[in-house]
Amino acid sequence: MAEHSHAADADHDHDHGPPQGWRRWVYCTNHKDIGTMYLIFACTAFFIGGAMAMVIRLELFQPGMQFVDPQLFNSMTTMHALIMIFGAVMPAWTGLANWMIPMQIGAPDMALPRLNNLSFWILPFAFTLLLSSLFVPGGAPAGGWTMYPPLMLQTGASFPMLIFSVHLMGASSILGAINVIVTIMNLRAPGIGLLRMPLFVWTWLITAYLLIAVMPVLAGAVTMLLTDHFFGTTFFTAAGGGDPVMFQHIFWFFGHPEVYILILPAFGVVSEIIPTFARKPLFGYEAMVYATASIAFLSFIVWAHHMFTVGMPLAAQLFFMLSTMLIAIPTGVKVFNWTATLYKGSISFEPPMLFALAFLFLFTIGGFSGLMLAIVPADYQYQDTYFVVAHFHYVLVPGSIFAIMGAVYYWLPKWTGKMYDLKLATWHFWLSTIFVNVLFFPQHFLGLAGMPRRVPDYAVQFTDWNMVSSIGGFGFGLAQFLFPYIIWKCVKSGQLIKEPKAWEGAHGLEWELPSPAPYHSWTTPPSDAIIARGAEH
Amino acid sequence: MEQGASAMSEQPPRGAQGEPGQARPTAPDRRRIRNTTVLVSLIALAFYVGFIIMMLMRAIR
Repeated sequence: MAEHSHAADADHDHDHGPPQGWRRWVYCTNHKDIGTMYLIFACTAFFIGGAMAMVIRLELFQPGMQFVDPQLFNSMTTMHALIMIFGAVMPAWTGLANWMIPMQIGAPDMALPRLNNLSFWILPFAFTLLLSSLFVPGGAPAGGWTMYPPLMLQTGASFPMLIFSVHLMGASSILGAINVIVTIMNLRAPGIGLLRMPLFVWTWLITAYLLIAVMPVLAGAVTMLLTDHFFGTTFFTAAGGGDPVMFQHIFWFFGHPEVYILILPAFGVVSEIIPTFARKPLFGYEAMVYATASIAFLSFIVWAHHMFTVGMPLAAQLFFMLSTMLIAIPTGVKVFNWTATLYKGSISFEPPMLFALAFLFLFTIGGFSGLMLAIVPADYQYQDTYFVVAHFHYVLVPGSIFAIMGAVYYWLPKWTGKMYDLKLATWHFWLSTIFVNVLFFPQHFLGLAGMPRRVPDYAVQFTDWNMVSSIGGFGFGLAQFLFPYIIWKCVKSGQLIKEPKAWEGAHGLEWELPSPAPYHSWTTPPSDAIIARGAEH
Repeated sequence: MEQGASAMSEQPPRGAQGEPGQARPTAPDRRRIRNTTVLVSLIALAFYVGFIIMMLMRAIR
């Protein structure tokens, strides 16, 4: 049997190119092709979720009901969140992990290629199901992405579609996470110890552990929601002895680590980009690793800060307030280390660096407003206002999404062997950065003035800042069309780069491979000399 | 490099995935990959089953 499998392996050992036509994508087991499919999927979801955001901003441009009815408005906020989180940001990170992890650890591919194919191909079905809920009687889910009962239990025909699609997306994420962990633990080239791995690999390893810990909890929670709806259980129904607040506890036990699932890989990307363009090694590599692990650990013991106002003992409020504030310490370590890396660096401002620097400033603003929200008495004022909306959008848009765009601009020349239009990408950066602030900064003012979130109409005193915010939203939305155009133009007619390194300050094993990267990354493990050169952090 | 000592101690066993600069063995270390896969899957399963048991106990109570 063993001999047989060796013979079968030998058949696949030669370096073959991709199969042609649709088979290349449907039967695909190559980490780069799967990474590409993930990224295209994420980009598509980004524009669909973005279109929903445009509907929201259009309706909120002025008070009164203009374009959509309240039911559809609530569906838009719910679906926008679900699509952006599960369809855009998470698949984008998985795509980047697929592309970069094998290249960065000296492996030929992911450890479980068929599982990789499965975890991608679950996604289009999950999303078709979720999106088609827009067209069933009663409309798409409208109770918010947090799915709180009892409101969520009133959803019409789209309810089981939502639950099943969340299950599928969760399964896809768990399978992807298993693959990432197994790849990193087993396929590192000899000589690449854990503390010689690039930060992007480290942050993804920790993210993958978060995923396998919390996705099953989400699956359990939505299963109970399903049985409450269809099978007469009363887990969350007070009339039958259940507890609706229990759902909030369970949801946020998943939901808070989920926030870090969306942001930790961004920390990894920024830790790759800043040293390259500051032309200095990353300041405090090991501190960065331990800070990431600390943030991941703390993410499990802060969940109730999302629900201070439901009524909980003072001791619990104090515990969750203080544990939340503790997160500022490892996050501060990161921000100061990035700043120290920049100090006295020979800095240049190519598009990936611009996105990384904007991340550094704007993510920190989101972090500070998070600290404000962590303070219990203050949170009683901020709860469910636009201040919260401003906070998490600062963390997720100029945080996660800017880091994803920075990562694409950083590694695109390696993927394609071509340089993109730097001038156009710089335009993309400046338009995005200006409009993202016009879009989200006024929402702090609206929230502090008392405007509630998830409402299609508002009192007239909120009009001015809502108009400004909507103008920012339209500008940001339009500017994003530059992104796929720049990538398409690069693939079609980008200037060929001859060197393996697209950026002179770049370090890492991926930059030791030729450009474009070969179909199988490291069929021969990198030599000690290459590892020593590539592993300078 | 300061981290050299710890990095050396955490290297995967040399030869498990081929020697540096040499062609990889035809099959990766499948047993190790399988063991890690099972272990990580069990962690995910434990969270799921543990969570369901916890909830059922609460429901019964």
